[in-house]
Amino acid sequence: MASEPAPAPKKITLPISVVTPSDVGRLAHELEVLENDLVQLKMQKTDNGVPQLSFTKGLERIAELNKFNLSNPADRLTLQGFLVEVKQKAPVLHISFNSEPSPLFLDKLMLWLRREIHPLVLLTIGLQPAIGAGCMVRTTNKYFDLSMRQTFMAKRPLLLEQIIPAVNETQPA
Amino acid sequence: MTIWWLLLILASVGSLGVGFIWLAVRVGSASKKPEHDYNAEEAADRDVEHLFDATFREELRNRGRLHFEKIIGESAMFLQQDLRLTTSQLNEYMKSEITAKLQAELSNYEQSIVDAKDLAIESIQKTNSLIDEQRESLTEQVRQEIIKEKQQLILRFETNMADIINHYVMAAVGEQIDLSDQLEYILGEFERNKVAIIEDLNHGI
Repeated sequence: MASEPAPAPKKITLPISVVTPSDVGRLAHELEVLENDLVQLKMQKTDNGVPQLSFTKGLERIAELNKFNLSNPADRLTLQGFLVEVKQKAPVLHISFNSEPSPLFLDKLMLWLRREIHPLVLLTIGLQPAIGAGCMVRTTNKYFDLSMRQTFMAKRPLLLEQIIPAVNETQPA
Repeated sequence: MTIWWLLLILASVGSLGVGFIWLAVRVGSASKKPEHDYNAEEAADRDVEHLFDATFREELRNRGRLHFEKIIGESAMFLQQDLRLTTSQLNEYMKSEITAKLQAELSNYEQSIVDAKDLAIESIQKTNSLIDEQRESLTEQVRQEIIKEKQQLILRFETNMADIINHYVMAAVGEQIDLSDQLEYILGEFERNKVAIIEDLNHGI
């Protein structure tokens, strides 16, 4: 009698609100605290029945997104393993802006990054007021200048086409 | 026979010698002066003393002195004339010689001045030519330096142009452009570099 194939592992996705490795670590920590709390509650189990569990918004969001039941120890274990793996292996981009990005901006950016770059990509945000417009991106091995200055430099011939005739007109013959 | 002839010849020669000796003795005795000739000479001397006495001799001496003085005067005059003539000729000669020398020296001096002048003119012309060349070289050098400086300025401007414009844009409208307004631009830039980012992330994982 052939055994049934093992079910494919459930694909877990990170919510858009989880942006930085710190966010992942915080979720993992919360999950760990929750696990400890549940153990303690089990030990202090009274006649009041199942204890009431309270979760943070982030934990609720990832559980809801991945249809996990946090009361289920298996789901919690899976989620815990997932978060640890994400923290250890997820690609991290360091992005610098000239000012603090708004949550809405980060949501849109993360949406695009998770869709186009990597589904588990994380960000660390830095501030560089000298950037002007745009941003600087540093990956594991490379540095990408996505600032307006770089665009100006790339389009310098176009600008020179406009400037050189103007300079020549002002020079004496 | 021969002996007889020889004896005859010897006898002839001997007789001739004797005759000759005799003749010589006769002639020597005839040439001796008589005593009265010496006396005549003394008498003549006494007559001369008598005729040429002191007065006559004094007169003759005076006449001779006058004649001598006359001759001396004439000679002196002639000598003076000759001396003047000689002096005059010498002066003329000296004058002509000195003039010729001076002319020659002046000519040499003039030639030297002309040569020096030519040399100075040639030197000045060479200097002028050299100065012109150096001026042209300097002008060209300055022109090249100006062009170089201009190119450096342009290059520096081009190099920093992006920063300048970026700074200007951000200073001018930076406050009006927040990150939300830049989202489309940033996503566009991400899109352009997406492949490189993914590739680097895949290598890093």
